[in-house]
Amino acid sequence: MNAVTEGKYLPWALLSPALIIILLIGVFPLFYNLFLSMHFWTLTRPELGMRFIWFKNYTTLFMSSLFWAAFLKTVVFAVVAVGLEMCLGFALALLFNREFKGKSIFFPIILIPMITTPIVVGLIWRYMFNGEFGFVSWILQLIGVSEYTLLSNPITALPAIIFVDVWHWTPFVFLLSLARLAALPKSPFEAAKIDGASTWQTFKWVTFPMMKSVLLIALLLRTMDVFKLFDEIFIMTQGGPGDATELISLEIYRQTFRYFNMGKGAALAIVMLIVIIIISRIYLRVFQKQESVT
Amino acid sequence: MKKLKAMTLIGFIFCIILSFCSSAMAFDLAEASKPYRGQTLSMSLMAGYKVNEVIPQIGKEFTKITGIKLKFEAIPYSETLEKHMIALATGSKAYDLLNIDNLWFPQYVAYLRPLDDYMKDPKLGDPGLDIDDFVKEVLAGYQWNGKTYSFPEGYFFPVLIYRKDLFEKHGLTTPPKTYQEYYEYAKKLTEKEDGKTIVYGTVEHGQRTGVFDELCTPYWGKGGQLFDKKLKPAFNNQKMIDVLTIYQKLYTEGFVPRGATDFELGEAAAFFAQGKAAMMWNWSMMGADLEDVAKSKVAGKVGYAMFPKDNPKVVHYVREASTGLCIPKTAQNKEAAYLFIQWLTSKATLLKIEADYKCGHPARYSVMNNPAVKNLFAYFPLLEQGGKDNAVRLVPKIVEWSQVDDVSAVYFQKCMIGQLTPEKAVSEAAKGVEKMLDDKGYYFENKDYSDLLTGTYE
Repeated sequence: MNAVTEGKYLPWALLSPALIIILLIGVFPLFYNLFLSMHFWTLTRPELGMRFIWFKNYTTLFMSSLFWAAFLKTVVFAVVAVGLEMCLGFALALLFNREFKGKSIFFPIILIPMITTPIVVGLIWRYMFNGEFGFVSWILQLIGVSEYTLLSNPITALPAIIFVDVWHWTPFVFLLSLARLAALPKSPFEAAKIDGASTWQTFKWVTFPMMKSVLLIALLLRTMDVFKLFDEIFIMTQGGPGDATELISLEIYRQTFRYFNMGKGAALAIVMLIVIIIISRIYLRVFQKQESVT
Repeated sequence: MKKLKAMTLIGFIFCIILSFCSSAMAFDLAEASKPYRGQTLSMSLMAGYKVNEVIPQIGKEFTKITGIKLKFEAIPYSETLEKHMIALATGSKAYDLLNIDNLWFPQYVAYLRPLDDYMKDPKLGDPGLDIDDFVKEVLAGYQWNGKTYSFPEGYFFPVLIYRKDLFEKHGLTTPPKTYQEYYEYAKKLTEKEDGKTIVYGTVEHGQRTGVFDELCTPYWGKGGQLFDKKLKPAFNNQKMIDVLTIYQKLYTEGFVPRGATDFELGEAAAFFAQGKAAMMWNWSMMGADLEDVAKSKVAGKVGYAMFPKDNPKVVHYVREASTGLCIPKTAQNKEAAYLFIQWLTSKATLLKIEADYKCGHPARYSVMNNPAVKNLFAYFPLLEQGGKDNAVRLVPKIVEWSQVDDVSAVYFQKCMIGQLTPEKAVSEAAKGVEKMLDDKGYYFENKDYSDLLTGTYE
């Protein structure tokens, strides 16, 4: 083998293990899911087999009021939960970027929710919110709140789950932001100080623009995660009461693993994927536009 | 005299031959299992059922007799169906035996192997199996198109569980006879102190997986049917509206704990065991834990009765439930698996399970009536009564039953908390179910379906 041939094939040879794995666990399932989404296939009735039905699964979905209700709730959940997580996480990072007494004690405490698995988080809060012996319900009763069973009320169930998600994932935004804050160069801050910039002006014109890239990553990851959120809701409410907390991810689970409508479940997953891609593109475009302006 | 002697001799010889034949006919498990010695049966068991906790222990005896090893995997109840269905649909050979709730049996049946030929096979079938000893409807839960796929290990149905001491305290001498009376009792039994409820009249299984089951009992007790002959929902009627009205009033008027929307059988029983409720609709087997002083504050104070029914002429009105082991078509050790099912559900083994481990859900009449078991739990006579009076019934044996239950539960749960009127909830649930079954193609041919599929009982 001469040097030219080696230069041509060696990179592919070296990349091939990783490429094969990506093809197997990323690309193949995606295309198989797409294939499934255009089929009627019910596991519980194998005698009917797998039938190609074009886009019927999609049209059925778009005509279903339950799908749109779940979609709307997912969007509301994403906007409120991720919005709160971003604000709180960033604010906490700004706070922890300074020196204060007890910082080393509070820092690990804040991170505890993030390292707890979603199933455990769901169980903890399910019992905390329990109307009969839950701590939260007890506190609410003490302060005279009549609607103290938050998960049993269709008005308060979704906000309660948003609260849990914020509690669980704010530390993630906090950690990312704090790492970036600690790595920011000192000179822009010194220049701002020399120019007589106030604290707010320094934050607005120096800190925030330099934080945008990491905040965008956090925003993107959290948005994608919220669309996939399942464990906590399933454990806490199973989508109820009624369908008050039925998000798209739960609907995918229900169609696929409860009703065994593999085609419908696959179509829902594809719709969710498209929504996530659109949102990601919007985020990136906004970010790139702002980068080019600055 | 000679004649008499000859007759006696012939009789004696006949008796010897008869006893020899009967002993030759007696089933010998060790002998039957010889060809399968050394095989390993892999089985998936649903966690949460007492009998399934016992199987790994008692199974050692089976291994000792047969040399067939047993490997167990316990799966949480909520994950069982999805895990099994995925394994079956992908042709997995991982399991020789699957533990199945007979509520889900129709969803599995296409992937299972019937047992009938094994039962008839002289090398495998135990002539003493006596399938008539099982409660008929419970066994029917594992039958499909005339074939049997399992023998039940346990049997239970919803009963009225109540606090005898609280009934006495409030001057109630008998359990409620009708659903309306059940509501009035709940109202009377609710105790408040300083404006706070300390004992609730009853509890409800408000969780999405429990609500429809609970509503069906009083609905069937009124003589209601879930489907018509064409498999169109038939519960959009005044009977179901009346049931839902009471169900909603119990919750919204505060005779049921607020958190009951999150309750299923286990949570409701735990609440009752804490002494916080005076009555409940729950599965009979819950009595086993309620009578356990280590787990229950109300042990010894609990009474059991058939759940109230509004129409005294109605016979079948409580849904039976059971678990059983089935053999997947893809199982690698089918014959050995059959021998295990047969041994586990034999009279002797089921009796041992009840007598030694107090599981509280005997599936055989002979076990319920055995003196060693008969007085273990106060609700056992109800199990026998339910079976012999034909009070128990099966849910419609359609593959989509879980989906019917789930689709309806959304609206019934909304009704329970007062978000929908009973009329609207019933109408929306019926529409949702009809749409779902239409999507599945049940109405294309406009044909009549069997009573078994529609769940119709006269």
